[in-house]
Amino acid sequence: MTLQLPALWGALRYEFRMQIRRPTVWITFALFTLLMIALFQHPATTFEETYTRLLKQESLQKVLADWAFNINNYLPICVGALLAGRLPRDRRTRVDELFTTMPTTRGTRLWGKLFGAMLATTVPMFLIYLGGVCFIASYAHNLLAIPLAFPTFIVVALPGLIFISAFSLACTAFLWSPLYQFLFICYWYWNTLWFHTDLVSLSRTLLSPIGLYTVMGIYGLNESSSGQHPIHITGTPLQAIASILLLIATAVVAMLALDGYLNWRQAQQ
Amino acid sequence: MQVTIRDLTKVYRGGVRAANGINLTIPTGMFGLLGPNGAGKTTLMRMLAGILRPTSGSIQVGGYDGTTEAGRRQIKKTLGYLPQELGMYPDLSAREFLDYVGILKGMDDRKQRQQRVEELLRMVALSEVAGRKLKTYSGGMKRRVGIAQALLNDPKLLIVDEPTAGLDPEERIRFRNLLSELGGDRIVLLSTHIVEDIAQTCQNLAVMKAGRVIFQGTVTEMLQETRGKVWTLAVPGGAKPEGNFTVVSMLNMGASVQYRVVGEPLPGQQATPAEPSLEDGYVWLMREQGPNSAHVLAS
Repeated sequence: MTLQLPALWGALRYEFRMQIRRPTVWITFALFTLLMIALFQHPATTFEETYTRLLKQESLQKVLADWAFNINNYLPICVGALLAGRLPRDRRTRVDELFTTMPTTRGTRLWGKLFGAMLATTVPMFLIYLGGVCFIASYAHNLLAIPLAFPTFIVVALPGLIFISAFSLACTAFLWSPLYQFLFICYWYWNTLWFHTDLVSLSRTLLSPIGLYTVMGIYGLNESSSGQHPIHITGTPLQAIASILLLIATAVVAMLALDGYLNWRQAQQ
Repeated sequence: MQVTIRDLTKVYRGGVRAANGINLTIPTGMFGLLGPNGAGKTTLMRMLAGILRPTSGSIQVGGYDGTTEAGRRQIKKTLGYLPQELGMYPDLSAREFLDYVGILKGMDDRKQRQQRVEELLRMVALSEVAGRKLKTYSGGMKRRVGIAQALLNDPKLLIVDEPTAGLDPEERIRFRNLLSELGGDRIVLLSTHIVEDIAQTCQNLAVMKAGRVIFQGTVTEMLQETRGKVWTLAVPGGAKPEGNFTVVSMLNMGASVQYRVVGEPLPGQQATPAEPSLEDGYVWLMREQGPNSAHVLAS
């Protein structure tokens, strides 16, 4: 896979632009957030109650990591589902064929698509996260929460989002995208939301896309703040780094496989 | 520059032979590729554009071998391609789409790219609406965006597949003239089943049928082939004449009907020889190259 950097940057910009303009992206996040708020209306688990309590017990950094972790438990469902249509769209609109006649490699376009579409889809998620960060900053009377929030989000959420986004692009090369979306949501529910320790699940491995080992190993969290999903796992900083690297490496492998598969399919035409 | 195609064959999965040992030499200038639907024109163009891999045979574009990955990469740098159904992102404006295509064509200098985009938007008369989303464009406007994207990198080889299909007469003439202007210093390979488009724009042409090239030469040579085979027949009452010919057109004159036919009228029929047109030549070739014919006129 040869990467052409100016073309990669160009593809990233246009994929970002096209995705962020989609009303579906914003509507999906808005509806999903409202759904989450409605589901967690129990007085003991509201955002306000949880984080005012947590701020009294924990450091600001730990509270921010917990908030990023909580966000990363639910909202990647939207990211994965919304990215699922990006590759089939190129076939549907026939731009794939046109772009094949141009000197930029397919691999470059795919990486541009991955990063551009993923970053655009992450914007609403990040804004929701930032809303919570603003509450934490105002309640803690500490504006440091704002600059701290950025690296926390990058470390806790981004590796998992790259992992999910790569699979959402790769799997839809051979799966009907609505079917992929259904399977992805089922996977997320079983693997992440239905957090039972007695079930076999990727969520308690280093390949956990919700950033479990990261929040434990780097930020020292040992239990989800809401108290609903006791983690019962301990993680070291080394495991946290291994988890981040593994998620990114798996995403790279998925993208390389996608490029190889699409090239093979083209050769078979 | 010259495109040389030798023994090019494409067999699709399922055994469909879309191109069957094509031999073709395409010089600089406008070159027409004519043939009925299913003749293999689009398959040939898609192989030239690097979308399809040939099953066997060779493609040489300038000094580059179109059957190797490295050669295809080089050819793509000098290529402009306008497919029959142009792919575009409906939510981008024409200006954005062209800019994106420019990036993918390797035009890295932003200022130069934007200048080129504006220049081409002016050339295809879309400057006024360049900020509108492509999904609001008519078919003709989309075709113009298509030709603009194909020309962005000032290609030495321009491949246009059925560019005038679905356009109104005015748009068609405009488009043909534009292609003629472009054909001066580059190869413009124009594929169509509209004979008139070739007659108005090309000096050289090839005719394809069932995956084979059945004629290659100049328009004059093709007309020469057809001389003596085109007739007009005035039939009183309008009863359809019979004979070993194909009716190209019929004109109702009131008391009689005037038929223009290609082939051999019967001795008793009062047939007047007529000057062949390219359309007559095309009909003659199609007649001669029937499904069982082994006679190939390609030179």
